[in-house]
Amino acid sequence: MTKINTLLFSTFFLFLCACDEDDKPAPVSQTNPSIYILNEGPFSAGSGSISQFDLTSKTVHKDVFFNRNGFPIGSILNDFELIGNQYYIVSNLSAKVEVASVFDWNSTATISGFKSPRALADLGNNRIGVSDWGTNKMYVLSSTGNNIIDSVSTGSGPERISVVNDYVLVMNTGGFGLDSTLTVLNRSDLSLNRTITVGDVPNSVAVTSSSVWVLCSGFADWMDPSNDSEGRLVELNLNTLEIIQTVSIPLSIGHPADLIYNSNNSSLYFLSNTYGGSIYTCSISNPSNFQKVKSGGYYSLDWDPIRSNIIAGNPLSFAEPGWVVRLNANNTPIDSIEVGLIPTDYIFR
Amino acid sequence: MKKDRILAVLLLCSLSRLQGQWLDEVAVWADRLSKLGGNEIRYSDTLDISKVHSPVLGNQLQSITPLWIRTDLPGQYASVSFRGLPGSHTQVQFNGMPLQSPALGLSDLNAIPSFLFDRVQFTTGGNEGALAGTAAGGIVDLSNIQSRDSATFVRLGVGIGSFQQAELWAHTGFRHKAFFSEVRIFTSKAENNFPYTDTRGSEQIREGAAFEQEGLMYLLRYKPSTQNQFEYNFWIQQNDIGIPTNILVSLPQGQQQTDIAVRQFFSWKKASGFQLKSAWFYEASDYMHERNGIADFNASHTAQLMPEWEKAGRKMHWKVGGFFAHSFAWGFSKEGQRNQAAFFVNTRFRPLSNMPISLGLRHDIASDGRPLPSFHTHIQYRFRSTQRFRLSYSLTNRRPSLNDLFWSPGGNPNLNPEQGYMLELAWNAEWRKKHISILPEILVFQQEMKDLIRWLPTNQNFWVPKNTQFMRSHGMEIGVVLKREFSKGYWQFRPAYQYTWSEYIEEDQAFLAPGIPVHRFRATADIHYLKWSMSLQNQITSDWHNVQDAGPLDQLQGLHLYDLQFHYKDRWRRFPYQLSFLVQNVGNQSYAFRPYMPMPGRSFQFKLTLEMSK
Repeated sequence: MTKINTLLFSTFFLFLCACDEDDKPAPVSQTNPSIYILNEGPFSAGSGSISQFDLTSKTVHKDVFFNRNGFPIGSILNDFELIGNQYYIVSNLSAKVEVASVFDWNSTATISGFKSPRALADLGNNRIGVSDWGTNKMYVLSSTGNNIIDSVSTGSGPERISVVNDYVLVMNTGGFGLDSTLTVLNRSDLSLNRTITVGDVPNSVAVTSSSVWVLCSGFADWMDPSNDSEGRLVELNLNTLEIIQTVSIPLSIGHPADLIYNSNNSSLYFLSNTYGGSIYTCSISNPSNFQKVKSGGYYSLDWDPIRSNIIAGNPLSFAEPGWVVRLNANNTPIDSIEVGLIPTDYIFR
Repeated sequence: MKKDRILAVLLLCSLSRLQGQWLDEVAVWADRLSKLGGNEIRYSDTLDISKVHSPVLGNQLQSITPLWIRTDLPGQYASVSFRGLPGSHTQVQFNGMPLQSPALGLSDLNAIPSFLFDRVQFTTGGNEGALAGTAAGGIVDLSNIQSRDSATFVRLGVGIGSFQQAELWAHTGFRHKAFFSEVRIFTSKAENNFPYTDTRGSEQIREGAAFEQEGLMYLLRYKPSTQNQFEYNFWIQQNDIGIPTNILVSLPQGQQQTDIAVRQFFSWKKASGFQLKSAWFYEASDYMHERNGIADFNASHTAQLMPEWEKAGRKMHWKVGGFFAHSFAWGFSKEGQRNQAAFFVNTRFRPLSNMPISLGLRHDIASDGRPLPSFHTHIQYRFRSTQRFRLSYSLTNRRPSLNDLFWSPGGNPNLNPEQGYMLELAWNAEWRKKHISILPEILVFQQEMKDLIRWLPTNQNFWVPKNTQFMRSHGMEIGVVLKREFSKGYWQFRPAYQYTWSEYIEEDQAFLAPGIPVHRFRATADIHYLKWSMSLQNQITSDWHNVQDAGPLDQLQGLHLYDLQFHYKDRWRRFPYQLSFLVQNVGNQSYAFRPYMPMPGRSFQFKLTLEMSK
């Protein structure tokens, strides 16, 4: 009997001993050219993370915020920006904005008072705008005091904020419902300038030398696809924000997201679907001629203005570390590398 | 020889009752009718719930059963899985009728009060045709024993515990001629205000995690003759559950959920082998998301009818039947409904005296999908009278739930049903010598499934269910029961090891199914001496990831949990009573089943049950 017990326990502990310890993270250089990747993280069951893709060594340092501070940033990271000497990171489910130093990712402040923050932008004059789904407002933060100093009402489900000349554009996606408008604020005092109806679920903006291009995803009725509406590309005059033209994106492509502008070939790029799609492009001179650049299930797309590259994040199964792939301005793949869970936004340095 | 099996069961029950007011395990199940299907029901897998300490099933069963149960907090939703499959593939039944909500497609074990039932049984080894086609992982069957039919009695119980747990229940039975009626009424609550350490190292107290349950179950049984038995059950229950946010969230508010469930069951059993079962459920959930001020209400009802006819011959055993269900769910942006019919036939025969074989076929049709056939076979081979090999193979399927199809936002009406197979091979033995028993078992399994349904996020923060290209898993279970009897009691040691490797394949890339530890070790050591018993239960697992190996932020440390329970059974005058005392998480280990959702440390529970009968 004793021998049987000993054998069973030994077998079990041998299995346990086979598990490796995690490697310690390597020291991270903050001066090398790098791309910082915001990883959304699992929904309500863990934390998002930030990966640093060191372009000199071609290595990735994962969880740079956690490794520096010893605590996770928060749950569902939707947006981050480098403003002055501070990183501002929006944690949607944690209902906060985490602030970290540009020099070493040391946490310097946690700003709370939101309900469901989604995106942020530098408004100038030490002001930062944070959109909030839960209150249908854009909160105004002081970048010196790192606190909320004001708020402005928007449409429903405000998400991305874009600053164009003297205007602040807030994209009203409708949240769990439907909205089709941009809230246009005067940048100086954040008073309401006007509301522009562009198309269902405005998702993202790209600015060229003469125009503002707005990508609308179209309404997705997951219960009854026959109620879906098409996505749109809407061109606005850069100075007056008057609508110049509207181009429909057929449902056969999907519900597009993440519009960017490649200035090298004067083309717009977007993803074919909001929960992961292929990369499509069209020339701004012929915006209805959509071409597929790369097939896949990409969840995020961005333009690296320093190196003139395209970067796309692939979450794979959404339950394992995602990958980012870089394409040059001619759509040729440069490299790809594993990052954190659900790569969703980028800062280029 | 061909006496009906109901009489045999009743006889066994009454014999068992002679042993005491609380039945010993297994005797009732030794000759179950449903064993015809050939599924494996093991000795250690049948539990007497009267000894289970927690007011809700999930919390207590996770350490002492083959189920892998995860819950965010005591009393919160508990997902239960066998063999590396998601919880939707474990079917929970009440007296053989599927219990899961047609909307959710699965059952929450923590929403089931343990007090309402006498026994819980775990069945594995492939899908039995009579038991619906969704149980690729396994079946949890809840039931009540009939041994009290001859008595009029009242049982009262009270329990208290850490974190302001309190429970109170009453159970009364009354017999008059051919009628027997029984009422169980209960209330339980817990504040769950336990301490934890937040992500920055500060001590905090859990807020917003209280739960409260109250309910009633009524039973009326009528036996006009030895040939017929009618039974009616009425079960109503309300749960109020606080669902706090994880500790990464700066605001304490989460959601408040109120569930109301009304369930009715009716059965008619004839000694000739005919049996008719029916059920009607209504379930409603009312959510209030406090942080965003979003309120949500959804409800569903389902009506089920299951006729069966069984014929036991000397060489062959047959069972044929059908299962008919109408389900309706509302509160979504689109109402969903499903009409379902299934026909099954099972047979068992012996080509050799020591080799029984079972075969089963089931054909399932539904108003919203293509017909789905399923099949199982089960072959046993006994040798040397003490050893047995067993092979099971089954084809299984599962239709998308109404939530999968119609949840707002994100429900996907274009989902395909899941289809797959399960193969299981086992060896076990029974060696008994004088007062020593050794019962070892080794089991290996493999299964594959295509179009497994998983919910995936959109970048607008709501989720959409999608079919996963492929899922496969394999594993091994090794266990042994060692028992030594002596003049005034016995001791028993039951170690068991599980290895489970489950992976999803999407676009030719495979990844380990998250949320399931690859290695799991459970052991229970019991000693029974006169009126006393003591039980030490443990559960040890390897580390696992909430998502697949996504770095330390999503890693969960393996469990090293120990529970210790003392039990005393005696009589006060002529009234039997039981006292029990439970220490959970004896080692005060920090642990969680989801990242940043800490579970309580060491906690205590005390329970007293008193019975009066004539």
